[in-house]
Amino acid sequence: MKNNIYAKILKRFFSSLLTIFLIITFIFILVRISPGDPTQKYISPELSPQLKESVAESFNLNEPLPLQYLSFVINLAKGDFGISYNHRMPVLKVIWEFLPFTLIFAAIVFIFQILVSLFLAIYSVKNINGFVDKLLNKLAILFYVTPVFVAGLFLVLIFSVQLNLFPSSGLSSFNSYDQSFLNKLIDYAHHLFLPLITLSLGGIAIFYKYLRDNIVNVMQEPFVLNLHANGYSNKKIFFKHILPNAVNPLISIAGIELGLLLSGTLITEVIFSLPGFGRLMIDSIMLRDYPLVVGCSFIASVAVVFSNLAADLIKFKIDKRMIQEING
Amino acid sequence: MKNKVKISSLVFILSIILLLFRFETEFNILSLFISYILLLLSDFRITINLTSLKLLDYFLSAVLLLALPILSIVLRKKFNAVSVHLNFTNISVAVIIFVILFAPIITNKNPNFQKNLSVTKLLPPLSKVEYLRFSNNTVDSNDVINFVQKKNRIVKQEFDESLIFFSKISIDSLIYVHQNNTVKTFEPSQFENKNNSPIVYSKIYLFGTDEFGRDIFTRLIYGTRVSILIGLGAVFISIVLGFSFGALAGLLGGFIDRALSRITDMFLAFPMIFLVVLIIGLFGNSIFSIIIVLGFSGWMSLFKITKTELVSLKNKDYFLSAQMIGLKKPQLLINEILPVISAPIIVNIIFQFGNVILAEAALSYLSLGIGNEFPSWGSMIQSGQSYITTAWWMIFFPSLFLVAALLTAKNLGDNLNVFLNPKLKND
Amino acid sequence: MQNNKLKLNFNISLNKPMKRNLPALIVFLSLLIISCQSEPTNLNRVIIGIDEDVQSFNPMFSFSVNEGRISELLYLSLVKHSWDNKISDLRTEFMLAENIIWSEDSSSITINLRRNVSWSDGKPVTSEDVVFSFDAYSHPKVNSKFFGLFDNFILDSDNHIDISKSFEIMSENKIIIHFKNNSIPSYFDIDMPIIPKHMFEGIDYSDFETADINSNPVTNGPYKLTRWNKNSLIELTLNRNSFLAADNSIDKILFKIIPDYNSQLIQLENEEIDFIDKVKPDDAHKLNETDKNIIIKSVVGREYDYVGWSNIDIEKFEQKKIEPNIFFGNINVRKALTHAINRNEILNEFLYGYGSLASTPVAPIFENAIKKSIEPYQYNPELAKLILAEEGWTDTDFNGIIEKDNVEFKFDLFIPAGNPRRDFAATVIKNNLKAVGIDVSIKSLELGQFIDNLYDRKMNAWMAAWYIPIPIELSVYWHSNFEQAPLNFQSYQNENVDRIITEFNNESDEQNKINLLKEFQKIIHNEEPVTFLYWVDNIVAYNSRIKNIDVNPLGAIHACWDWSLVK
Repeated sequence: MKNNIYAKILKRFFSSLLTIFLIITFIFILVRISPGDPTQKYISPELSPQLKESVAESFNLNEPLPLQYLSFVINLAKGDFGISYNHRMPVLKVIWEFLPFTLIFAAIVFIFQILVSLFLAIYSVKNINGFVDKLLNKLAILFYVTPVFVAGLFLVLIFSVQLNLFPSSGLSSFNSYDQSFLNKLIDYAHHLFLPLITLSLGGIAIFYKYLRDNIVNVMQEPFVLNLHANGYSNKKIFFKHILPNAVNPLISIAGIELGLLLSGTLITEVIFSLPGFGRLMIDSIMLRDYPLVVGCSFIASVAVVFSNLAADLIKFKIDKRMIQEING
Repeated sequence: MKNKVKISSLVFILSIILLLFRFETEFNILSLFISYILLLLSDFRITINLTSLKLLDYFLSAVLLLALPILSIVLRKKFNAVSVHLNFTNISVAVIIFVILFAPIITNKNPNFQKNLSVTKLLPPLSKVEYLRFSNNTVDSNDVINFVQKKNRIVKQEFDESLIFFSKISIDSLIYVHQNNTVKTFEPSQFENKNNSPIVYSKIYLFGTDEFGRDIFTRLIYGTRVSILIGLGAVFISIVLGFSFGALAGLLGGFIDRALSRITDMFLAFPMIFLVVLIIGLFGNSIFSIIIVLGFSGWMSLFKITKTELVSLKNKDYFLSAQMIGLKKPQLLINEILPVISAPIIVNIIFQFGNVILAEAALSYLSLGIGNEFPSWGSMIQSGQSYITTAWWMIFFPSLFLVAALLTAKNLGDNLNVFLNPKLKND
Repeated sequence: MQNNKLKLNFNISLNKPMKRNLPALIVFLSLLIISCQSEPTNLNRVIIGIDEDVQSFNPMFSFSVNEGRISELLYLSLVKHSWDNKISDLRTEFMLAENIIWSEDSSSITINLRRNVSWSDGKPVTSEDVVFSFDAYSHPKVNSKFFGLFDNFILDSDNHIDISKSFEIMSENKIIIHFKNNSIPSYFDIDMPIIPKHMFEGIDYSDFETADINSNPVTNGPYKLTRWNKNSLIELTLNRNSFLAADNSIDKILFKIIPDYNSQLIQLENEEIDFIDKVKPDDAHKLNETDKNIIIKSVVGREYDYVGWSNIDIEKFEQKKIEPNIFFGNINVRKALTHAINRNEILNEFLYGYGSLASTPVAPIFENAIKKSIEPYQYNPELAKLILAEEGWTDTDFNGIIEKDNVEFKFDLFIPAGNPRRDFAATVIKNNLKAVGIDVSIKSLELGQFIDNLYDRKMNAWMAAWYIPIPIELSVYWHSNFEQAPLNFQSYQNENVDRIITEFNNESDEQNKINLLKEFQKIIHNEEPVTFLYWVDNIVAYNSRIKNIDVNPLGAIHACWDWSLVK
């Protein structure tokens, strides 16, 4: 029984690997058959035409596609994605410079979303069907449909252009590097405030809606009434029983949320010119930096595939517990 | 249950309002239509040459606008079957359809009209600009030329050589036309005039103008068409792909099923926005490539729904018995399966429609959209971004339209979902 | 009912701690964030805002504008060319070379290097470094930006300089360079930065591109790299030992990376940064009026926008045949198109006068070479219609579009996406041309694809810009041999122009060159192969506390060691 499960998980794992491999193969071919040429930036009246030829040679671009692919696969097996044309560095090293920002930022956004939506949901439930609750419900739908870039532009319009409270772009001030650690932190917070709000709105709306409805549903479950009858304190019931039960189903929408976060960070990074993975990817596409495009695609698909896998495993674990409970 | 309104009444009211507000435009177009018909009878070939899509668009909307109130009264009985609560969703769906059909009547400007930039560019909402018209003294007239002149007056074009905008005029024996920093001099007789003083016309820009002095309201109205067209086109492609792949995989199973599922996994595993940016970035952006790419990026959920529904149906009794009776697979598909799976698919389509409009706007925002030539909401927001410090209205109004449209799509999807799956109501 | 009961329960129970603390915390945090203001500093430094980070500090890979600027501050070359406003031309200054002696027949030069110049790691700069630099730059495996530019040197295979025949090292500080027979060498041939040989020894030529030294450079220039925070900051510090460093030279030059243009502008106004370039004309216009602390200067145009008309039939060209284009093959039609376009409106409404009308590809900065008698074609739609009618283009079927032999005058105007100026100009041009009965639609293409199409000559009409290199270069743009002129996208062919170009390239006398240029301008203006639109200034804005900035056609960020600050 147990071995069977592990075999299944293993199978699922290799199947995911295959999917990722197919994706990067697809991207590899796509970028090379598309119009445009990575050596275009070597054309200028100030440079010699021979340079372009020589560069194309060194990028292996003159070889037939199958041969290029073959050497790509061989290098890939060694974990080598090649050298970025633009950054003149190994691809993974380039990505490593940009990815941490995106990961940290996404994590902060995620935590912020959970905290705010939880707070709002509890507030809503306390005043259920009151004015604020109704207002929040309407606003949640509105913020859910509002595109990230519209939200971002409006926030910039209000807080940067009109009120001049927050900077509209960048990550730090000009002199942040010679400041104390605390000041540095405050400087980052000051710069990241608008991006944080921009990217969080949609997720807050989703989480709020789910949490609120779930809390309301759970509160009407018989076991809650039972607990009340047994004289447990309201506070204890809420935090020990209602809340955990209401939060659980969130796992199922975390997947959707991850997709939103990924595309959302891309646009947020563009609006606020933040040095993250999304911008790196767009730039690499625009500059026809073939190895970097493939590398970025790899990282992006790994993120999606394995988070899906993880979500499935969690669900599976929950299901297993259910099976055990039934059997036991 | 009181405020139930019949759909026919809604249509009737909207068209009457439009007729009242734009009576003159409607009348002009209709009279142009009549002269067009007359000309068509007298000189067929030349008239066909003069016919353009834009002209037909004008005729169609004018005729339809006249016919609509009449139809809604005549067909009242039929419509009576459907009466709905009047809410945000219905009204905005109706308004969007009206805007698409009657764009030439709702606004009497051309979306690309620009002239005398120094006076007309970047005007805030509700600005008024004054202009003079050059007098028109062509005398020779045959039917064709008359018609062309009439057409040029009524069907709005991107340019108009017969008018000149000004910020100030001063008149003595000559007329000095000030355009901010430049002054041009004219004879009074060059302009249309009354008692030797030129007639001053004026234009009001409801939502202001953009950096080219183009009317934002008009661009929004025509932009609705573009955005909705992209949405419809892309969704259509998604339906065809998702449905046919799903049917193939569900009915045939085996290797084809596995291959198609693998492809779907691939598409799902790659963040869609990256894929779209990649393809548009690599292969270039035109209105068609955007429709196709967005269509290709949205078929996976339809595929999954179709396939799962088919597989579960396959094991049901009535399907097996239908198969035993000897119904062929295509017949089965149409007679038995389609009705069952249509509900989730329709709901999915509506949501997909919202996604596509959003994606198009996001692409435009990354300047990978359909460009400056057609005014889509996204491209308008994108071009407004460079003027964010000076012209808030360039971002504000298109965003408002975009959010309203997305909200409508979302509500419509939710409503349909409840309507088509009654058991959800009990939740 | 049930809901009400629940509501009651919760009102009693769980609000106390949350209700007060969380909002208070949020308010406190936001106050903290808002109140944080960075105090102004009066250090001896200048902060320059740039839009993207550099990839390499190695001068042989400094392809981008910013890389070029920074490498100029980090490395010395033998000689340096700078712009002389008095003669409107380049002037040569000795840098690493103390003096240079030309042989009688100009076939070789003897260079004495400055003594006491050392690398930032303390080792002296020697003749070996000079020879190594030329060796590396011309090596086919290195892909340096100077590759292929050594036509005047004695080459062995693959454009590589034959080192043993070309260079004679006389001593640590003295070196002789022999040029190829029958070549016309000039100071341009040795205007290249010198790199440290001892740092590159042991690295394979093909690994130069990825070598670690590119990000931790050893330099010999007036500034040295002291900090590089990727994607945010580059700090250069004055090298006090350099012979270029003066007492009041600025201590630190910082390049702050701010990709967003609007933020650059805001930070300049808030005095967070001191210098930006590529200011949009309308902002320059506004700043000029409002902000007294900011000085606006324009680097006068070396770049012009033009509308390209394919002079040849693009479909026939695919079958390797050269035939005139049905629309644009005709000189008068091209002139009519220029008359129909309101170039002044674009100049006034978008460029706010930071530019000038263009009539030929010879930039106005070459004052001596400009043919003064050339009058720009005036905006005159009536005249345009008249000329078109004379050439047979009239609207016979009254549909608003002119036609000739049943062909309507209708084409796509291609522009590269994402350039506001070209978007603006194209929109104006489209409507101008529609007004004379020409049906134009604008197609914006992604840049890579646009350039592909240009090289393949796949477009009838497009809008693009050209930079004019200094010294001026004609053959790549205008020669009728397309192999020799890869940038002659308009496929313009004229024997006289070919002759002028050949003579110009082989001429060394300045006055003769100028005369040839004038003759060239006259032909080009008469034939209007493309519609020249306007020269565009690069507008720079900087804080008035910086003094001694020399803004000239080469740019504004150069020779920063001459800058100083108001005390």
